[in-house]
Amino acid sequence: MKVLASYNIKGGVGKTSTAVNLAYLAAGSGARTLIWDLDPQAAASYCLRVKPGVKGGSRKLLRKKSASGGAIKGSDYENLDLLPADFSYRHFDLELHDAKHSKQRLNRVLEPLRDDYDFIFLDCPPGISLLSEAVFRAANALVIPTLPSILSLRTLQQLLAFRQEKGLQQLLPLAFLTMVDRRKKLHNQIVGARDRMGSWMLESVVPYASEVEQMAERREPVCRFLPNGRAAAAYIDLWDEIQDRIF
Amino acid sequence: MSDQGVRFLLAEHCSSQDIRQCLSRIRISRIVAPVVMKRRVMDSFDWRLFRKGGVIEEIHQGSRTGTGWREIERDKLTKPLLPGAAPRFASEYPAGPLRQYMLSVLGVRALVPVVDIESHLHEIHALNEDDKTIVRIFLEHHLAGRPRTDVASFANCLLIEPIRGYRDEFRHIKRHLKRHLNLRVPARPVIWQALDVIGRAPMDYSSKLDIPLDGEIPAYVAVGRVLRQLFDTMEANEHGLINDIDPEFLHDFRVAIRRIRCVLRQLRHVLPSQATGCFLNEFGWLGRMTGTARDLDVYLLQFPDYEALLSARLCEGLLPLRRLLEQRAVREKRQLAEYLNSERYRSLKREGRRFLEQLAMGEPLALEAEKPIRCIADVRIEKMLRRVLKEGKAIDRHSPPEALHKLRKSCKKLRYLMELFRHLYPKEEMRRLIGALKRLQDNLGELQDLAVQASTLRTLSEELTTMGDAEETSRQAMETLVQYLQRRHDAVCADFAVQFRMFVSPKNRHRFKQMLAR
Repeated sequence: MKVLASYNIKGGVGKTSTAVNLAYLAAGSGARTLIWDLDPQAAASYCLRVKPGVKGGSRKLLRKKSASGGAIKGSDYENLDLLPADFSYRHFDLELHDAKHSKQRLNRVLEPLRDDYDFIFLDCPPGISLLSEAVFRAANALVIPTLPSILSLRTLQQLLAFRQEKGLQQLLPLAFLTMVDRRKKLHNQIVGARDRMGSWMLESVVPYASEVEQMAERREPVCRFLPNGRAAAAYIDLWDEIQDRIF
Repeated sequence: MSDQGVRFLLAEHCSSQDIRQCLSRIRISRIVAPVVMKRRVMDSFDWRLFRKGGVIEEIHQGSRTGTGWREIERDKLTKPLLPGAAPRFASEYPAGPLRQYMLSVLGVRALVPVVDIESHLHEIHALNEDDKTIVRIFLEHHLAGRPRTDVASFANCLLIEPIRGYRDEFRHIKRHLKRHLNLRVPARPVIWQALDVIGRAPMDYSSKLDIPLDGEIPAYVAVGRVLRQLFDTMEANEHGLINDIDPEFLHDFRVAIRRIRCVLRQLRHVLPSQATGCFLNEFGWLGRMTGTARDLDVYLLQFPDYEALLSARLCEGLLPLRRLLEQRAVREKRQLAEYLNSERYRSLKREGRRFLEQLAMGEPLALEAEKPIRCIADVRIEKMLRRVLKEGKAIDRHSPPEALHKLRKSCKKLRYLMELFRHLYPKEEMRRLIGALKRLQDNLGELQDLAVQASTLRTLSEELTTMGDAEETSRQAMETLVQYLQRRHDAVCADFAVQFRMFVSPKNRHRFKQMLAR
């Protein structure tokens, strides 16, 4: 089982779109796939038409080993399940703080699911907190959607430095440029320079496309409702590249 | 993942609209565009995957082709789907859980097409107020045929599949549809039904001998049954052997021949002597004709083990040897195919079948033909056991290799007799004794293989040198291998005494005595 976290310190960069589409593609290839919507805003749950809510909330999930299995809902797509968001997730940091071995807690929640799934995608909320650290310890790779802007790249550098400082060598950082608008000079410059940024920056680029925004309206992955569109093609390339890196 | 779905048999005239209408009383629903899925079910010739509860399927849907593992009882793909056509050998699968599993189950066997299934699927989703699918319903129309031939209709089914987290809704919908559509539970999974259509039964071939016999039946009847099964096994493997599908066809073919020869020789007093002599001679010829090809198969199968013993540099030195073995294997297989198409072989089969028919009619009868088979089996097993004990006890560390070889052949004969007549004896005792004998045979077999391999490698090394194909690295590599084989031979040889002692332990002798005395 591989755990992939769609994560960025910044918000509004397309973490949910990334998690939902990549999970949809993984499931479509026959891999047993789960998305855990860790964000109390419940965007991934909404996109997959699942009502948010977990019996007992974050507290029960973190403390009772078997709770995760009972909370999982099947999506409309074969092989794709969802562990929905819950409003209590806003207290995740507090719950973790009160728990023993807080940074390993997420790992423990995922442990009983190890044999059930080939891939688990974590759709993370923005920010860097105790929950983020627990995510870093549970995940095999961080998939980091990054805007082609100077400040976003600076944030990415901060994240990589944090990984180094915490000794998280097992965690593979996989950043990619997203919301790329080819009409903008700066975007083109950054896209052109991405192969010099380091091995953590992927080749694949997700363009700015209105169809990605339509996901919330249609409540489906863009790879589902517009499989031949630019955005879907970009996510397919991205998933291919990620698979090459993680196996 | 999702809970288990339930499949029902459905009346032929029932359409997806009928189902939707029935469903409309309790739920809103959506019909998904119908699809046609063509599946080629694949397994090894001896059903290794089926015996483990699954099969490999090559799935064609629209322009896409994929390969997956289907669990038969649940009729569900349960391992990640691979893109493209199904690879024939386990070693050709990409790294991953499926490859690991296939290597462990399939070994060196190739996958062969078993049956083609065409399924016309109409998918209906029962929805909740968020338009979220809560139950999937499939109207399935299945057709089946032999691989690459026309398909014929065989079942109309309704599959109701729950979605994880929506169990109550699933139960409710299932109850409703069952009540209103008069659904019946099918007796067997879809693949079994498809096999019925093409006139095949699952696991209709096994290289293992399994001939139910009653101890009281006349010996000639029992021997006739045994020989018929061995004949069938021999003929069943011809096609795969001629087409060189995988090395096990030749192996099973040879084992069938050896078993036939063992029966003809060991039970000669049950059979008319004139015919026995003639068949022994002909099956001896067939055995000799297949020997070299099998030896070459064994060398090639062991090549990865050879390579694992050497450094990367010396491994490269083995390439000329590998090429030589491959060339010879191809030549031998071609030659073998010619033998199997020859008049001599065809006549052997013809005469063999005629002989079996005569035997079934009870003529011409030999001296012990009418005796109960159990009496004959007791005597033959006891005699062969005595021979094994005598030959084994006479072996010490000064004995020539021929003595071990002779004992190995006697052990084989004893094993064949025990396996042929296993149903005449208590199951558990026979299983234990065969197990004990097998361990001794493994030791003797390895000794023989190591001796032959070392000597063949020396010969091949000289040949390659004469042909000018062997460089210094090749010679070094082969010399290193020969030394290893020699060392291993000495170690296995030292183990022989232990293995033999274990086989002739008082416990095993007592078991034999008890078993044969009943």
